[in-house]
Amino acid sequence: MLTFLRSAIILEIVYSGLMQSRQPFLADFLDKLVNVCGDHVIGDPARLAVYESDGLTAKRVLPGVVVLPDTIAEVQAVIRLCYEYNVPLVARGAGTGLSGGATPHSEGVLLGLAKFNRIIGVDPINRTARVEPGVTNLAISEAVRELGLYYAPDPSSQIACTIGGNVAENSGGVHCLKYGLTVHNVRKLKVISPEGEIYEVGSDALDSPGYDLLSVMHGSEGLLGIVTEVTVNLLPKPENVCVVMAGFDSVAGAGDAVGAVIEGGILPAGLEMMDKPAICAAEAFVSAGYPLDVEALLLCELDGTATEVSTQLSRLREIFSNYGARDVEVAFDEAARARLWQGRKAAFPAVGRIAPDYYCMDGTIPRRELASVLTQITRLSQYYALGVANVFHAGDGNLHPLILYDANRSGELERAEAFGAAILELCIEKGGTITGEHGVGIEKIDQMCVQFTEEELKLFHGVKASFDEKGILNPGKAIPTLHRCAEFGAMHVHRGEDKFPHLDRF
Amino acid sequence: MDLAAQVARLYRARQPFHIVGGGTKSFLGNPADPDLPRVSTTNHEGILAYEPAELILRARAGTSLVKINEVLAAEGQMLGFEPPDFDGRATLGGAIAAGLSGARRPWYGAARDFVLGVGLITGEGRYLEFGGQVMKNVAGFDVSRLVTGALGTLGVIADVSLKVLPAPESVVSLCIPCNRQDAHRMMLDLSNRSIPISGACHSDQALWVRLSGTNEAVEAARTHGILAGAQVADTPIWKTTSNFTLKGKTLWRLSVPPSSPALLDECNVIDWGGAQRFLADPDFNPRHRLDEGHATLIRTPPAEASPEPFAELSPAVWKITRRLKQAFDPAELVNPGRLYQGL
Repeated sequence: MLTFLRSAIILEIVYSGLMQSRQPFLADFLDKLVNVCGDHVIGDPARLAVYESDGLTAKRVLPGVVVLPDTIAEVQAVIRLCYEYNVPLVARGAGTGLSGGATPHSEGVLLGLAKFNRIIGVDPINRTARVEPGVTNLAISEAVRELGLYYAPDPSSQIACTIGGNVAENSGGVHCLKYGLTVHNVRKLKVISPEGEIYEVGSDALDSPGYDLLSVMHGSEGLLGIVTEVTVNLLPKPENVCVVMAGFDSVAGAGDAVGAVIEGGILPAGLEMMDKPAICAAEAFVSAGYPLDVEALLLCELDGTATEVSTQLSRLREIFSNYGARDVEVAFDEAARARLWQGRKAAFPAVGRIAPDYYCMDGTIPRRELASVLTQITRLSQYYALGVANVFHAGDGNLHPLILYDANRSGELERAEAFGAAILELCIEKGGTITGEHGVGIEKIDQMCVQFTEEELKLFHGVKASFDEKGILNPGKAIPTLHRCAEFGAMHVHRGEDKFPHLDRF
Repeated sequence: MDLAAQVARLYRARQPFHIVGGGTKSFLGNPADPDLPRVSTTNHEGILAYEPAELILRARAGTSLVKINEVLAAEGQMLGFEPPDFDGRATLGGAIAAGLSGARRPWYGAARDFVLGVGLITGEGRYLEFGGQVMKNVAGFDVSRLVTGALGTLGVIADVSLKVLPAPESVVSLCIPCNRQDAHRMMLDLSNRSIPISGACHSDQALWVRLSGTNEAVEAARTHGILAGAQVADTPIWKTTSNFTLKGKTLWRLSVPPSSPALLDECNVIDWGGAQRFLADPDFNPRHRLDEGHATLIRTPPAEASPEPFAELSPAVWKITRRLKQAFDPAELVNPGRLYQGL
């Protein structure tokens, strides 16, 4: 009786919230949802507003309803209801994603999975950890530190972002050149299908029979299934780590040095570049000790056995000096390394201090195109009359231009978005991609029409339908409909072919 | 005729066919139907792009692994997943379609980990490109990795872009005579240490350990605990284990968590630091004895298709698998039955 009363009260709250909002759900659906999840259902507009965006704050949508379950059975029941009533379902971890993968659906359920934050077990011999999807990225490394192990991918939001979100976005970080993305560091997933069925992909062994569904789930942005458990690989902590900082008089010079390091047979754990605006912003913010009179700064991390690190360090010094590096600083102890990294890791908030708003892009280019791309970005910056600071995962060609704007000035947001779109199209033209690690979400969905042909997009829809026949999972994200591409008016640009007439204006 | 046109012609005739490269992997999967036509990739060959400073190589499917290895070695680089080359006859397309990785796999990654992009000819004869020639790319679903190891059933791989790695300065293989149990214990111990290990295998009553890295790092590792005083192996076994040269016999390949005790005493070879084991006993089906992992039946010569060579998929995964096949190859013409019957 009490349970019934409680449900009735909650239902009324949910209803009253939803009545004020748009499209009401089928009463039947809501009844059942509240029956299953009780006070884990949020319908009150004030509380719904908390979930109106993820890290892509420029896009805000009030969710139809939010559900924050705390058992797998509950998650399964919510999914089954959505399936039965054809209600869109958007999964959300910590909401730190930068491309709008977790932007809510106004007529759908937003399924928050942050309560699933348990580390289920650690297997030190096989070097794996089984964790729930809401565990934060950093919490995994912290939990296994005593064992001399760590989890390698380290997106800059690692203190907050969840492993479930990392799988959905195939997140990277500063160490991917050597240690790979999330897809290279996950062994097994437990997934709930849109029909509510639980299945596993991958295995506790190093491979599994059949198609590699484990890979396809990575970076699928919540379109294929809801992940409820992740088995990650752990690595032994390297015996020795050092960070080298070097300043250069030109971005091209720093880019050449990066190429020479890799051609010289060194695979650094991390290799990052910042341009002058980014260096100045970071230095003003955290006083990392960066030189302010250089055009580009490289941060290079070497790890391995003590002997390996010392051999590679002397080679690295030689290469850097051949390429005219100055203000070279080498840090071995943890505090000094942390100081050098701090400026790079704080680059985004640092840039946030010099402009009211910034828009972070995420294109990847073949590294040899770096100097030409940065030159074009500078010209685009003049054309759109907006500043830009560049940070760059130089080792793997992943560029993060931060476009500076002021949302309160009329037209600046639109100009920033147009500037961003032009950068992405430039990346495609140079043989690169529109997203290296942040995902497509809703942010880059129109550029997908430029990167892929109609037939390629059709096949993506075929993959989507293989997992989610009814299309209830995160509809409208990641893969544009052909109709949308027709409206956007974009022509597919074949990789590497220069045919961007509208860029010729600069 | 170019590959895509050839597939398109077969599609118009709704004619099922098999893909063949170097023809070295007939032992894997169900046997190809001898009555069906073959689409050969061997003339579709050549390296399309190689940028040592970018660590990226792109080549056509029919390019021989030997050629690729030579080109990489000239620049001091290598394929990280060490695909078996089967006496020099294996092609890149076959290596990726089969998804086989060599002795280095547990420490460096599998074939799928190094695939950055593919050009794929679908069952309807359309050439489509997925992934790319950059290290990081999350635009669209990861079709490149999906077709890796699909044994050609999702279409004809026409070209592949791979991440390559710097080759180590020094490689030393050591041999320690011991039994399986001791070897297994040592493998697990070595894998958990920060030493530059690139192979750990028990075969022929000995543990074989390979170290790769800078000269100094390899020398330092050689003095490490159990490796101190180990004999240097002049004729290392790395190639033989990944080439499945126990063939001639029917083999079971077990893929298990490294520490698994499963069939430790019965296995002929324990490779991959414990994670891959071979059992040469045709009459013995080990599947019921595996709590974790899976077993693959490797027949030489390929015989009647019973039981299925690859372990059974769960109903939910099979349903997705069937639908994916439909999406890539709607008329179900490409490599019918090679991976599973009915696929």
